Amino acid sequence: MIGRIIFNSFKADIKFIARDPMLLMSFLAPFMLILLLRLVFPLLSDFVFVKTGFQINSYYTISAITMVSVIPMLFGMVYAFILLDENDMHILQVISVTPAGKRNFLYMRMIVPALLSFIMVLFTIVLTNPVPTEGWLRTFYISVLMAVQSPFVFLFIGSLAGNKIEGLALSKLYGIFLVAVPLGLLLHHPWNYFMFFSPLYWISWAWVTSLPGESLVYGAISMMITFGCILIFFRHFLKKQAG
Amino acid sequence: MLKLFKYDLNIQLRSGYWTVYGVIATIYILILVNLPVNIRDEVAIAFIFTDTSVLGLVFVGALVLLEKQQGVLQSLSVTPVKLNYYLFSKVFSLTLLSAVISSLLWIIPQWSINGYFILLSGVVLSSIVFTMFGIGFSAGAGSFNQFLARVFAGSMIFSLPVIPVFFYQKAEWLVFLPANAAIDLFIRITKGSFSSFQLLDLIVLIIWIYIMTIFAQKQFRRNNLFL
Repeated sequence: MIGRIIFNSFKADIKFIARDPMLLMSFLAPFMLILLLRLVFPLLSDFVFVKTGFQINSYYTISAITMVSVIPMLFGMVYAFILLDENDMHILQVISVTPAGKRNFLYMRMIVPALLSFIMVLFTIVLTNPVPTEGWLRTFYISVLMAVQSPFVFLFIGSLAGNKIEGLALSKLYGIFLVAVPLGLLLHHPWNYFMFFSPLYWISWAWVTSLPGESLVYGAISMMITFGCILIFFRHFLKKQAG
Repeated sequence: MLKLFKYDLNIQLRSGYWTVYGVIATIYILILVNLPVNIRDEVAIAFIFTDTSVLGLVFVGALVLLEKQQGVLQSLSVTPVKLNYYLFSKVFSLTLLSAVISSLLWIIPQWSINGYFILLSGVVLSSIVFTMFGIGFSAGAGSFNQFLARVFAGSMIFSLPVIPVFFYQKAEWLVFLPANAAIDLFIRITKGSFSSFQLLDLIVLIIWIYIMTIFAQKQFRRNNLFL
């Protein structure tokens, strides 16, 4: 029953997406990131090296990790703005009285971007290879961790924002989670403590560390933060809609 | 006009644009202060050019689209408010935000006002150009995602010609494009000398404001938003 409901609303969403150029664009974005990392980055690093003798090449891992972190954000953002658009047009109230219900509807809205970003992240990692020393298992593991970020973004924007103006402000604010990645990797004790709030910080450490055990611990921490926030935001959203 | 401006500013304050940019500016300033002094102004320029001076481009879309969907625009069109008042009130309120944030980014890390006024005029003018551009796109868009897609596609035209500027010295003829004029203006500030080229950049930006205003007006008229 629930499966069919989810499937049906997924079908409706696919139609929505096909008419929504932004989602198509966000499918293109990973390809642009790949191009940027694979073609423009070496060019730029050569250029800067000739000019100033500064080796950007050694920062390839950091910039690649940051760029990969952008992908789940894009999908989450697109879905959040679909939600906010519907909210402004009062479609969600209509859905809440259909058999699908608000809960299933939201589950679907969280699962789909997660799946999409999982595929795209995996694809991007395989092609750009940000951390060359890691094998395929780590790649898969990181893709899962990254994919969970997109429902987080979706609920972060969708539940806290009242309309799309606020939604845009929040999506800008999400940038501080992203900034935590390069800063967290570059800064040393004790300054990196300020980055602990961001799940992306933990993911990036889970990615670069060479010890598998450590990596699992970092991943677990990031999942704890993410799922905790998702739960809080989800409840907040339902409460806001009911009240 | 003044009332419209106050209203726009109020909405932006309430929806947290200023708060969010306050946080972002703090992070940027913290980054800048920790950089070595000799590359500080270059990095500040990079932040100002890529973020604060073009923030209106995207943000204005949410403002216009919400008003469009809530029917505020129809109500406004029967009041004495003219289309230009509406457009410029949006543009100036967002430009104020970008001017304030850019000033913070430039003055606090360096603790001097070297080249500040040229920078400010560049920020203000390019912010007006790009906000107007964003308004033009928001008029035709049905949903916010559609707007974002169009803006990204549209701004690609202006942002791609910026790339050659970094690689070739002889890319000065490209300054007839707004983004190039702005980046040229900013780069020259970091070199520390005032030249007549900067005046040319400012003039180019002013001409682009005129073009973009006409573009926004046309888009509004074509979509029957504001008669």
